[in-house]
Amino acid sequence: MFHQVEGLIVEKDANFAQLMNLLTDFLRHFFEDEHLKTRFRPSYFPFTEPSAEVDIATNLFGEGRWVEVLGCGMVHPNVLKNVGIDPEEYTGLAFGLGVERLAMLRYGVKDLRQFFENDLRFLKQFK
Amino acid sequence: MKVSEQWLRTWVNPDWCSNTLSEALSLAGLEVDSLESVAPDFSGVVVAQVMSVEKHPDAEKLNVTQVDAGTGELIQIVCGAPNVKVGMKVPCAMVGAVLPGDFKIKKAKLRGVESFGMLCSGTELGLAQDYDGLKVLADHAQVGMDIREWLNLNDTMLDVDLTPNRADCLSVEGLAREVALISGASFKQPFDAVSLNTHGACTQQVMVADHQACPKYLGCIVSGYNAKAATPSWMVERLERSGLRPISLTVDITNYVMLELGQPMHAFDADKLQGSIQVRYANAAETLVTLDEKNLTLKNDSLVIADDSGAIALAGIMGGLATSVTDNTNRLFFECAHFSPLAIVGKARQYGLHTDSSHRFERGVDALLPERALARALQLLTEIAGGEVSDWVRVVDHSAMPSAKQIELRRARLHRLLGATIEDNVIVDTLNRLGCQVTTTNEGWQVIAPSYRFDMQIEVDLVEEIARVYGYNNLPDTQVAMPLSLKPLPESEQDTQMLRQALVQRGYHEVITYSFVEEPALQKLSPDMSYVVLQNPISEDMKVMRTSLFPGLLKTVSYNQNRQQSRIRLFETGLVFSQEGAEILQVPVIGGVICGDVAPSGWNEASRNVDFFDLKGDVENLLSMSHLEGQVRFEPAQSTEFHPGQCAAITLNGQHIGLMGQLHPKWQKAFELNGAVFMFQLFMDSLLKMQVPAVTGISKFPEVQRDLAFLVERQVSVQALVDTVKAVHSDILQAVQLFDVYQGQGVADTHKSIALSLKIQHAERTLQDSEVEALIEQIIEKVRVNLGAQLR
Repeated sequence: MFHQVEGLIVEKDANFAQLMNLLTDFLRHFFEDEHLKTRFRPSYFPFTEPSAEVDIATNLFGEGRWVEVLGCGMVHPNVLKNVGIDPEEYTGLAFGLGVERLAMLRYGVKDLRQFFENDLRFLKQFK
Repeated sequence: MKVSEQWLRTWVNPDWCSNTLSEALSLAGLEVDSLESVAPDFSGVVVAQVMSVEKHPDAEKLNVTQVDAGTGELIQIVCGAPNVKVGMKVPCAMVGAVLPGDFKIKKAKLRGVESFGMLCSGTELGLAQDYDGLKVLADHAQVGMDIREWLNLNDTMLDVDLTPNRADCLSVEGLAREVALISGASFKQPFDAVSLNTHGACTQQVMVADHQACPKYLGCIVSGYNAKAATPSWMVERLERSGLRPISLTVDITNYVMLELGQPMHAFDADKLQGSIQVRYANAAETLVTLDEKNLTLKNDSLVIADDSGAIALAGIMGGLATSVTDNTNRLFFECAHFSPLAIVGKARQYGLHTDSSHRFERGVDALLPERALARALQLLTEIAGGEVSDWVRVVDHSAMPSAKQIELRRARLHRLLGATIEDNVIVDTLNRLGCQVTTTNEGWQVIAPSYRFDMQIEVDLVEEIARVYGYNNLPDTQVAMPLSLKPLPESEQDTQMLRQALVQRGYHEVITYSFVEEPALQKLSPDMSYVVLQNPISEDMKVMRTSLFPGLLKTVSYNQNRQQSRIRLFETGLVFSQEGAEILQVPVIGGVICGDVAPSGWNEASRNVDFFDLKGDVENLLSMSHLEGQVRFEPAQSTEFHPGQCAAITLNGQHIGLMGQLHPKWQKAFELNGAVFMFQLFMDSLLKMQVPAVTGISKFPEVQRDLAFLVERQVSVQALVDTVKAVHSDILQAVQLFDVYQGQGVADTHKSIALSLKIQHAERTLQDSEVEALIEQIIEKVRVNLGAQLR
């Protein structure tokens, strides 16, 4: 089991620069670290183009290692067409992030299964 | 795709170290998963030849050797390896050498005999080796040469995790093109293509039945080559490092060309072919024994290579055993074809196959590559094993070949999508470096992508390429600017987070359990509900959709009790599912379970177990979050999962909104739970509507309080008495409050005493005693008539 949060902005002028700003901002707030280092790596998803994966630099798995945290991109024009939106008029930015993945990084949880074992000794740490 | 850095650098050699190269590839979208040295660090190990071997005078298992390590004089080394023999060439760690694990080699005395170094096994050098003893080097190894140089060990393997759109990088050449693109280093093919003289027409006929599936089929016969020629060690090494097992020269060459250029190909034993080769779809129930000796019954959607005897290969996936090349093959038929991805995709998997060939053809191979690849394979074969090559058979349907597409790239569109202004010359330069043909138009450019970049089809593909090469991280970042509108937070709607918090404040922990539960557990708990059975469950204990939260919660209680947790309070919110005819209902609910001590153990009060009323208090508290405390009723009820005497139905304005009570002892046993367990579940919707207060005036006149105690028969509920009192028609009765229930001395065994406190007040004037008395009499009369209650 895992959970996924998907976000989408479809606007007349949604663009990739905004997407990068939005996600960098989110990650810095989420990890409460205004100096958090992020990088956007080109990737491939069938439903976005350009597509990117976002890495953060963390010391959790070794000094300053880059760890992938989420995927994002500009909504593929065919996706917009298929829902009756003219991709010439509108553009979309989109992202998807794994709740457990982020929670693991945030709280130092090493094993995703712990979230669903519901062991009280684990749950009590989130008081 | 695993690629040797050394091999890659023969095509393109940027002035970058391995780490920089790997980082740059990742940031260009070719994610490097790992970077591994072929061998760990060690130094001072050279090629040496064993000149003499004598038994150690004082040790059964040791030998004293004299070796030539190219130093000009023989070196004495004591060696314990069983395979040491005179004349062999082996790696020799000289005095001063440092082996993996910082193991320093010094002059030593072994049982009285001096030893000046160590002869090494592969394992001692950190190399994979599947046999014991010294690593045996080829006879032509050059004595004295550093072993790292001789075995080419200063190499790194890059494991590149390619996205499905980048099939063009499934070769050393493809990756090299990409490295050249991002580094600016020059790209050159490291071998000279030679055009071989052909000797006569190809005697093998080829017919292609479906040109859409196979737009191009090239082939030729090679005869008179040395079928027993060994694969050269440089080729073996590159194949092995890339994860391919060397098999025989012909097979190794086809694999090598596939790694080098990306074109899968196949070699048949020409003498085993019967009649002409046909590229066609399989006939239903046609069979084929593949190279890996699997017996396949083919489906008629599978493209095959056939001869007059039937299918001899699964096109683009794997060859057949009957026509395979062996040591005794005299004549080869080389096949080098272009298969359309649509004809291959998914086919390998339906036979449980996944080959390097199918992996490439499914994603697509450059349609212009077969000519180059066949020429390269023939060049390698004739250089290594000689032989004569026939003319080529070429069956090409140009109309079915993928065509170079004109793609329009508009400057404004690119700027708008990226939110960045990229200079025209940067755009054109990038496109040129990508291998595109570019012509300028009014709005931007007309672009034709190179044949190997068939993933570039539409404008946005080009936008991505330009952004990728420009570097995503070099693009500006800009805040989203949007019209501001208010997000409503209606007071008439409850926030589920508030409900969760209310339970957390009372010591509950939130859990998430699976919506899939075990069928027997569910049947036990709610046998009357028709539940949804999954068609393709992950496992037997996750076969059905839950009809309540109880199975998951109770399993969690059991899990925790088994881990010495006795005081447990859990809740969960989620959907429950039921089948109503053809429809599947999904209902959001909130439920909880408690067991164990009522409070964490302390010094100041004796502990007791939780009971029905503890849970009722929690449930009422939860209801009060949505201001429902005065409107809900708890009424005795029966439900299979609950204890028959400890179950209440919860209703709101006459509507059923949930159940609470004690788990039936039967199920408590079935779930292997310790102690009494209490649980509740409420429909979430009933808690999400909030009443916005509508204020009435406050009376300025005095309030009168009267307490009345009634004797009623035991089966009469407090609720019934309160309801009866409230039903008295009166403008001045403001509130009815229970303050005591008593059974025992002074009250008959059949009866109980219920004490109520009444608040009486008039809105506009001070009440007269007589008015109050009249109301009290009316109440006493009404409860006597309705419930047989007597004033005590």
